[in-house]
Amino acid sequence: MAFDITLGQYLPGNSFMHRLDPRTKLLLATAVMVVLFLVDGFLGYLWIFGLLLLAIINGDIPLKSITRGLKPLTFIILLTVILNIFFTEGTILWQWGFIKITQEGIFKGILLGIRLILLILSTTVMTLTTSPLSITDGLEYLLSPLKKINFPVHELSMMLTIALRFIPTLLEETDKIMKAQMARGADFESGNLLKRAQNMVPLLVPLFVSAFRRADDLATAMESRCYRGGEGRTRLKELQLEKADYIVLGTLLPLLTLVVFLF
Amino acid sequence: MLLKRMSYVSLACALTVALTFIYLPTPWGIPITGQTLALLVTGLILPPLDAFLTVLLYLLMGVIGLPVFSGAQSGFGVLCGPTGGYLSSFLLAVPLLSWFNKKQKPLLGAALFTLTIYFGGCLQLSLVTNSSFLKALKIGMLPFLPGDLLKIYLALSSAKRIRYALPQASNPKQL
Repeated sequence: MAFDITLGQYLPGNSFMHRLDPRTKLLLATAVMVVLFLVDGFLGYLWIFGLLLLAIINGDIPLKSITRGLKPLTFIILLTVILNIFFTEGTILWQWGFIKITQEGIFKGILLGIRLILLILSTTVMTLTTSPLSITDGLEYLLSPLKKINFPVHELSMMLTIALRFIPTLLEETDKIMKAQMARGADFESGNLLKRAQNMVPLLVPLFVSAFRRADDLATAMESRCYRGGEGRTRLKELQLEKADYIVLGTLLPLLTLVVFLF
Repeated sequence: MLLKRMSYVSLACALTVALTFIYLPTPWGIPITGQTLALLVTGLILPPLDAFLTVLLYLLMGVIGLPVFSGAQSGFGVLCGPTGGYLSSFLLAVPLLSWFNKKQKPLLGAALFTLTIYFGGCLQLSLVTNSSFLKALKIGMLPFLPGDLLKIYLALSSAKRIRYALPQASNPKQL
């Protein structure tokens, strides 16, 4: 059993990237993703890479955080590249039995690989410079037009915030329960797979029960503080679009549109 | 009882994220993560609509860039990428399981849950990587099958005990 906790990637800072409104960053990250799916050529990707590089340098993001974001996907990226190199029809460069490498395959494989890397980079840059709470705040503002069709935007973003708040707590709880059960003689490390899976039951049951009990308590606490949804609720910190946000959105959105039309 | 449902869904989602980070190494190389396990138990405990909301919330967290998918991935790109089909099929699979569980057929629900995920996952895998559906099944289903059977067994045996310890959760009317 192993833990792999990378949540809380956010690197606090005070750069231009950090100070931008979360809505601006959410919009831009989405725009970049859309553009990546529409653009189909190296030149277009170069433009986007340039933009991301600017954001990375400005946000003072260390290379290590970026490679950490890319590492888990290495296998998928390699698989996509290799599958495309070997299984695309076209001018044959090299053949051995049924395996053949084509010119088009190499081109397409590399292109798809770059696209995947850029896709991950665009969201990594946003999460590294924006705290999760301001991301959910920004999302609530951006989705608020959906309230018109009775979509529970506020409730959804509240649930997002609660879930975020409880992830570290639950991870800690998992660790605590594991140690408590080990002190009672539970064995999580040895035995064959079936045995080990069976040994997970004494971990899972208390974990779920305690999580749902917390949910009960939380509901009671919110109710006794008279929480009753989004209608008429005020906030301590209102999100405010600054001049910088308008400038960034005003220049980058047209630029990205231009990239789509040119490449 | 809106508040209670909201907090149950949030905590179920937080548990899914927490369990996604926990994995059991296996002899055949592909680790078993707790992600589907958490969703299986969620489907066995929450009513269908709440189960659906849990998945929606989980996917939303990932889409807006929080590293909650396996391997700390995130972003809309993951949903559109080769392995995104597995994630989006959760939206159908978990409520389906919950619905069959309500009809007292948890085993059938769990089987359909797994089949839905494999079908959706392999379909997208074959489309995105330009390979045949059969080849996608070979890389996208066979290596995971033993782990998933283990998870179904685990989830079914834990869910019974969780419901026992948590009487109010088994009664959707009270939620």
